[in-house]
Amino acid sequence: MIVRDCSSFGLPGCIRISCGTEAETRRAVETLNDVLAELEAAEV
Amino acid sequence: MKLSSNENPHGASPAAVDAVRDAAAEISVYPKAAHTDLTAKLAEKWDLGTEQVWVSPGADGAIDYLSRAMLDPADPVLVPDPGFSYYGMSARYHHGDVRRYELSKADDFAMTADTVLDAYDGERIVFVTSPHNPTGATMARSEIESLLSGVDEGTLVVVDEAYGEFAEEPSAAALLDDYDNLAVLRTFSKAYGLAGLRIGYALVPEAWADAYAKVSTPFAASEAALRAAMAALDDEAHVEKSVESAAWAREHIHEQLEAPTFDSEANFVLCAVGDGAPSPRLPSRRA
Repeated sequence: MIVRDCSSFGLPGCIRISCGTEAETRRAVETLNDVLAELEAAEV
Repeated sequence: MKLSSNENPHGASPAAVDAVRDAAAEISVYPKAAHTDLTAKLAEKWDLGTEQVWVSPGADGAIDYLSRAMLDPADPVLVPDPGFSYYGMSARYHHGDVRRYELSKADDFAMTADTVLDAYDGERIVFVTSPHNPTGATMARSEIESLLSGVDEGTLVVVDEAYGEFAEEPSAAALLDDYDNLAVLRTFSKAYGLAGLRIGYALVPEAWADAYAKVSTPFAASEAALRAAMAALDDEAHVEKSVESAAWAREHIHEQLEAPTFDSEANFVLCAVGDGAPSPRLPSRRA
């Protein structure tokens, strides 16, 4: 899954997610939530 | 799955795809009549004169036309930061200078006339993106009016509405009757799903009637693109579906993503996910 890293816009730490179809958007949110949870777990 | 370029997930209108196929028979001929026809169709849509519609290869092409029309070497332009990079690139290609006005993350990237005017210092072109890329924020039309009244004579305010179809805020195009220092950019790349064909346009003041012939690249918009754009304009249902689908997706991301998001009126959502590095630990508090 590819989203837009916003460092080039001057916004490090931000991503821009395009609105996909319903199925794509649901999958994108699930995938990102998994990644965010993993990152949080790695920090503890 | 590519959700990085704000393309239309439903593709183009089937009528536009048919129009491209039909155009195949004519691609040995320079695009002339189709250019005139699309210009007329857009003039009717926006209730403007045909000389006020500058068809271009994508909205990027229209940015270049405005740079050509406006900029002498070393003329400065004022662009939003964060913001779309091509405004500054086009200015530099035309030997202009680039200055920036800041949109504040702490303020949800709010865009008012004062946000711009506080940084404004007589620049030749001032760019506003509404809905803004990449934040999704809009500038209210009343604020755009204050901006148009607040800049010096000789400054052009360009309102880039590439994502305009997705927003509830009405287009600034209606202000063209009252202000001759405004240009509005629109594109077929987003809501109309024609990103691969490169077709867009600028709406300009009536007083600029002669300028297009001086600054436009001959035949820059292709026959296929012109015809597809006309077919896409007629398929309002496809645009409506695209707009409704984006509204649903925005809500879903706002509600379900476990990271802060910013309100958006475009077909994307800006999310603060952190930089992937461990967050700095707070200094331990002494008892």
